This record gives sequence, C-alpha cells and structure tokens, in this order.
Amino acid sequence: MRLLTRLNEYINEDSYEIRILDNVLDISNYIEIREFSSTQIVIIHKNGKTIIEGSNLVIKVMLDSEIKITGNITNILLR
Amino acid sequence: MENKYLKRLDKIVKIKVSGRNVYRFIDRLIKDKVYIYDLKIINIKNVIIKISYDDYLILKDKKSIYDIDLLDVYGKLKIKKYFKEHYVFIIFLIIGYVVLMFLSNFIFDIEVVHANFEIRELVYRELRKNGIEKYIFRKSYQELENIEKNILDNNKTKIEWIEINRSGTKYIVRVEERKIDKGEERFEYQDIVSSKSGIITKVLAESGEIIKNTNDYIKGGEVVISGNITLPDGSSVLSRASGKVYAEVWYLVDVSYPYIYREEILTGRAKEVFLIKFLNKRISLFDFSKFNTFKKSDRILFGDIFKFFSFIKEKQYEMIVIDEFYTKEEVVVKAVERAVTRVNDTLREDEQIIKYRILSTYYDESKVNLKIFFSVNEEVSEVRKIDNNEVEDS
Repeated sequence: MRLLTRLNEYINEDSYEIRILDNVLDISNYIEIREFSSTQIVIIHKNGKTIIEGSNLVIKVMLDSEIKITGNITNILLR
Repeated sequence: MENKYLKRLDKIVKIKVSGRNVYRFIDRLIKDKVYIYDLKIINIKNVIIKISYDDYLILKDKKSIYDIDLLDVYGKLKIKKYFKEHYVFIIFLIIGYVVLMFLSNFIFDIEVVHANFEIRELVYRELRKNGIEKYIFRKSYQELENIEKNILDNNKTKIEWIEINRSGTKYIVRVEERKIDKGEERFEYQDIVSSKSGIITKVLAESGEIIKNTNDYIKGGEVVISGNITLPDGSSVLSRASGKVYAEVWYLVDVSYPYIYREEILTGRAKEVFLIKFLNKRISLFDFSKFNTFKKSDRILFGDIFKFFSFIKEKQYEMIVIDEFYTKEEVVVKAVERAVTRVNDTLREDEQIIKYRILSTYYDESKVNLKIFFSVNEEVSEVRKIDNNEVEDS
C-alpha cells in the first residue's frame, strides 16, 4: 500500500512545490491567489499560505495548478 | 501530468493590453481565473499577454477601460490561419501529387519485341484477353507472372518463353518462338531441284537421273536429279529421285560494328536478396557476397509509401560486362569476324565458307559499315513433287 501511495504521488504530483530558478519562482499545486500587486503576492495552498515580497512582481504564467512569478523577489514567507 | 506537446495545439492568442494601470487588469484576470500562458510587462500602461482564445473572446465582449489588441495566434488557430491564407497552393499541391501517383501507375503503351509479325499479333491478342492493354493501371508482379503462365499454357506450340517487364509507363514484352522441325518431305514421284542459284560443286545421287553436273551453273528451281527416268528404249518412267546437291552460292552481307563495344554476358549465377529502398538509395540486407555487376528483377513486398520507401525482394543475375574501344583497323577486323560468325551460324557441318571479300567500307560517327561478299559451299537440294498430269501432257 505504501508503495502504491508513493507511486500514486509520483505519477499524479499533487504536492505543493516551490522551485526557485533564475529569478523565477515556479509554484505548483496552489489553490488560490489571494492577493496580487507589484510588491506582494499571497498564494494559498493545501497546508497554508505563501507570501512573496519584492518589487516589480509579475505573474508570468498562470495555469490551473502552476504559476510562475518573476520580478525582484526579496522575501518568501511560508505560513 | 500535463502533456506539453498537446498543450501546443491549444488555441492561444497573443494580445496587447493598454490602459492606465495594467496591474489592475492582471489582478482582474487572476480573479476571473483566466489562464495566462505568458506575460510581458512593457511598462505600467502596456502589457503583452498570451491567453486562450475563448478567454480572449470573453474579455473582448466585456466592457473595459483597457484596449485589447490581437497581435498573433498560436496552436490550432495558427494552423487554421495558415490554411486559410494558402488554401489554393495546398489544394493544388494535393491535386498535383494525386495526379502524379495516378499517372505513374498507369500504362500508356505496350511493346512486343519479336521479328515475326504473326507472333507479335498473337501475343497482343493474348495480352488483351488477359487484361493487358493500353490505358490500364499497372498490374502487380504476381498478376504479371500469372498472365505469363496463362499465355504460355495456351500457346505451347508457338511460344517458348515470354517475359513482361515494366519500363516507366510502358510494358515491354519479350517473346521466344517455339520452332518445331517439320522433317523431310517425301513424295511418290519427285525431282531434286536446286533451292538457290549457284555453281554445282557436288552431286550425290541415290536414285534418279542426273541432269546437271559439277561446275554447271544452275538457277533456283532447276532440276538437278530428275525422277523422270528415260529408259534405253526411249520410254520414260516416273520414280522418286533422292540425293544431295552442293553448290557454290553467293551472299552479300551488310554488317556494322561500333567503335565502342559493350557486351553483357550472364554468368549463370543468380541469387535472391532483400533490400530496403529509400528515395534513390538501395540498402541490401544480409548480402555478404555481392555481385560486381548484375541484372535484376524487383518485387515489392511492401511499402512504396509515397514513392519514398519500400521493402523489396530482388532476383539478381550476375553478369560480366565487356567494354572495348577500337581503332579503325581493329573495328574492321571485328566487323568481318561478326559477319563470318553470322554466316557460319547458318551453315551445317558439311557446308563451309569458300572465300569472302570486303566490297565497301563506310565510317560514320559511332560505327563502321561494311559490305562483304561471301562465297559459300552449301547444300541446295530441295524436293519437288512430279505432277502426273503435267508429265502425261508433255
């Protein structure tokens, strides 16, 4: 069962993830964007929320379960 | 997991949004859960966004203080747009291809290669009976084999061998005639006459009366050994004359020979090879002892897809190619050899060439043409029936 669970998690990939790439934040499996402005973006996920602070923040890509954020990111707060 | 490749086929548009503060517009997109595929902020008043076509139509319909301009389309929309702009070209391309496929599989002409007119006509009739004539689709290799077998089975006494080959949009049919020896004619009362004009060199009479002797000149049809024998008392009696007559006969032979001579001789070795054909390339499979030069006949097993690719079974017949280059003197010698061989081939063991002489030589760009006079000693005897009525009248 544990193996099946791990296999299921691997294939379906439904866990909340933040990947920090070259000046781009790639977030998967979020639920909602609560707030958006050029200095702060608040993202709600299954287990809480993430606050991204900076300047010239822009949502470059926004899909059903994935977003990419660019700009000058100074803080990432996990709550 | 998303399929990135299928995503590319989504209907996506690139729009430019202009207004007082584009961040508010983006905020509205987020609240309306509009997917953003790409976003590029030019300045506070202008932004370029990629969204789905359906969302674009919704945004366009909504009243807004922002200006939305469509810059480009992607995915299925782009393909549709391309077809709309180039549909004439695409339609004619497809038509051209279909016509090409059609014509290249069509037969426009049939040629039967044989010197005898009757054999040619027979073969044309048989081909028509088997569904091979002008302006038909080409037959498969197996169908052609079956047709060849049918024709041979129905004409065993006249046709020795037949082969149907396709050359482009033409069928070339090669035939070998079956020749049956009729045997010697015999009559109750007969003369031995000369079949050709010449000077008698030998008369071997078994029965009958010799009318002409050695060194006599005879014309074709003249009696040499007569079956009408005159008895000592002056009466005559009919019999069956028999014997052989040899005479010196003359021929004028026209022969030509090229300066560059090419001959292909089959060695008798043959093998079957599988190969893959891609465009003009032929790649043989498991062929470890290749023939240097060979003739081939192909059979397509499968493929011929758009004329690019096919898997073929090929029968290869090894051959030796002789390429010779001659000077003027050498080519005359070769031409004479060819003429002598040709004449000798028509003679039997007891016949021979007495002498020959070149009467004229003409050189053109590619070959030499000779006129050669031959003097040949050959058998000229022929049987002719004696008609009783004619004898009584005389």
